[in-house]
Amino acid sequence: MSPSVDEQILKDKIARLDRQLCAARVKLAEKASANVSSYSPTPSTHDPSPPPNVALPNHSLLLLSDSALPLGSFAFSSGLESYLAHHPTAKGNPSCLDNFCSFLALILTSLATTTLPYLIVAHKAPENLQDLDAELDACTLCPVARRASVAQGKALLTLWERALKDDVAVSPAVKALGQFSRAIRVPRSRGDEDVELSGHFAPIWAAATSAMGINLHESAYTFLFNHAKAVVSAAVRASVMGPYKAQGLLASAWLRGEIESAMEANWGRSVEEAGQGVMMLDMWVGRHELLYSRIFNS
Amino acid sequence: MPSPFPSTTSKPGHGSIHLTLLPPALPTFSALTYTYPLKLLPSTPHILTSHVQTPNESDALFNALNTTLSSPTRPSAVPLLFLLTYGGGLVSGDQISLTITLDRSTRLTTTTQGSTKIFKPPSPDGAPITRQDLTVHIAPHAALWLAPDPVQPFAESLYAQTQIFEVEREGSVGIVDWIVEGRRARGERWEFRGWRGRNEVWDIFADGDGEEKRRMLVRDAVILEGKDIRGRMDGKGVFGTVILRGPLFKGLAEFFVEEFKALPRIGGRDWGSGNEVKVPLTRTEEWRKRRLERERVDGVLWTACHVRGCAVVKFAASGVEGARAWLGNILKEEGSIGRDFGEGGLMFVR
Repeated sequence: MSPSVDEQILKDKIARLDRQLCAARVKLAEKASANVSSYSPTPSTHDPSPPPNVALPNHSLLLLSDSALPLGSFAFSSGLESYLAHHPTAKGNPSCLDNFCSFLALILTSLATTTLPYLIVAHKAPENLQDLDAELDACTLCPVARRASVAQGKALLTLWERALKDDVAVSPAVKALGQFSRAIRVPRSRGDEDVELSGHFAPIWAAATSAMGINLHESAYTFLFNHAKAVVSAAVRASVMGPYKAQGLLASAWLRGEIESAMEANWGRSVEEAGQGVMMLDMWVGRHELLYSRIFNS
Repeated sequence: MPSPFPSTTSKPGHGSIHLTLLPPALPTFSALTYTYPLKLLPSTPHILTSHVQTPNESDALFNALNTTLSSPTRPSAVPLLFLLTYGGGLVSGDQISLTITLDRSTRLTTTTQGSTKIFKPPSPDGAPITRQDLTVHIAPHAALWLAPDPVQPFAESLYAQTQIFEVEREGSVGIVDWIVEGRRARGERWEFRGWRGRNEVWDIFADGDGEEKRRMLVRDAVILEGKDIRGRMDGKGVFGTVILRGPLFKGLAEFFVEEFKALPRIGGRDWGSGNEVKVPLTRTEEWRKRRLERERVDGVLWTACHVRGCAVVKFAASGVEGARAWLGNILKEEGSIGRDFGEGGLMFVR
């Protein structure tokens, strides 16, 4: 073998190894860059610290918008059951969901014209809680609607006293709720007929949310949305729709829009100007008493 | 009787009615004034005959025994008063303000001659609201039956009414307040721009120290404005409220509530085999059966309840004639309006 041939063979070998080394380096680089962009299941030591408290969800709001809040709201259909009984064809026909949506829109309109003004004033000035409760009672002429409002209001008051009030800072709303709880337990004396408390839902809701630091807009929106949830839940139990459709409806931009426009249209209304916006609801809710069989209390 | 030349010194659209009892029991208008466009027209009074008892026999007995305080004097007659507007309606910007004061033991029946038409404003922008305000004060043992024809708001109209009733203890008030969809013959159905109505009944009483106190018993308020008013009506063409308070309307209130309780259950089934022995119906059952049939045909839905010392009846019907027939049927069957307030008190349901 000539030394020149040996030299050539060695040169070729070095060149081949060089290429392999280069290819391996490229592969390594590719692998490294892919790792950077992909999700890494183990937390890196460079993660930023948790966001400050202001960016966390409103704890009290989550609590009060929970369906599991023991207010008994799901015992009331707000006239849906009676509405369905007055429109026997509304159930199970193809336009059923449309019918339900228009009913739900009527409920929200009515709630916003009759009750929202009381919520707004009670949130702004909780010291008037007792007067607002008495005035709202004079405006609630339908016994079925009154039953529903008072049952949920009293339940919230009990919940406030027994569970919610402990870690809340003192405020006019806290004081008003305390006074209200004491006053409602005092038996009425005959000579004192101008002091009478019922415990309607909207003013107590307003005072409780105010006490827990929930702002007025959120309080009003959640009140209306909770109501919509209760009616939609009633619709599921009354076989108007299935659970996925129900959640779809609650998630929809349409429902948001309805709640927001109901709030907007009635935001400046004083309690003196509050009134029934949907007269048929008085009819349906009032005639709930006449249903042959009932699964709901309203 | 009123002066043939009523005073015209008050503000536009203002009216004042003051009914008092001259000895021994003669009802007399001590004031009856009005200005354009309001017109108050007294008509033939209803003469109360002596065999008419107070509405509640046990009350009558109680009053007879309780001789220390004056037992209520019964007036010899119940004046009938028409509340009228020129042209039978109100144009845009018309504002009517009426006060009625009923002194102790007086009774008054008020009605209208046809529906109160609310005309549309000449231009839709910045149109002034048309409104009517009524304030009523009722002394002990006095009574008002306010039974007008419905308010009929035309397309584009804007209307508000407020009716405040201050009722002293043992005073009585009965009101009918109803609204129709518009001019149905023209296809006009709930096309007004806005309609607000508010009725309040206040309890006026003396506290332990003899100081006058007031407490709102009921506020019945309706707000129809914003988008799609027609869509809220479920096809009905007329809605109304009847509010009753006080001893003179006790019987009628009870009648409404009992008839409501007797309505057939909705969604109930007839479990009978169809060949049972027919039990003969009593006269009342027969009347109720015919009424229910009529309610079905006329699309009448209604509710009635006792609430906070008053009775509140809400009704709806497909059309005004059906509502009129239904209300008239019940008022005539029960009978106290005709007996205590006269046929004039039933003119609005004829």
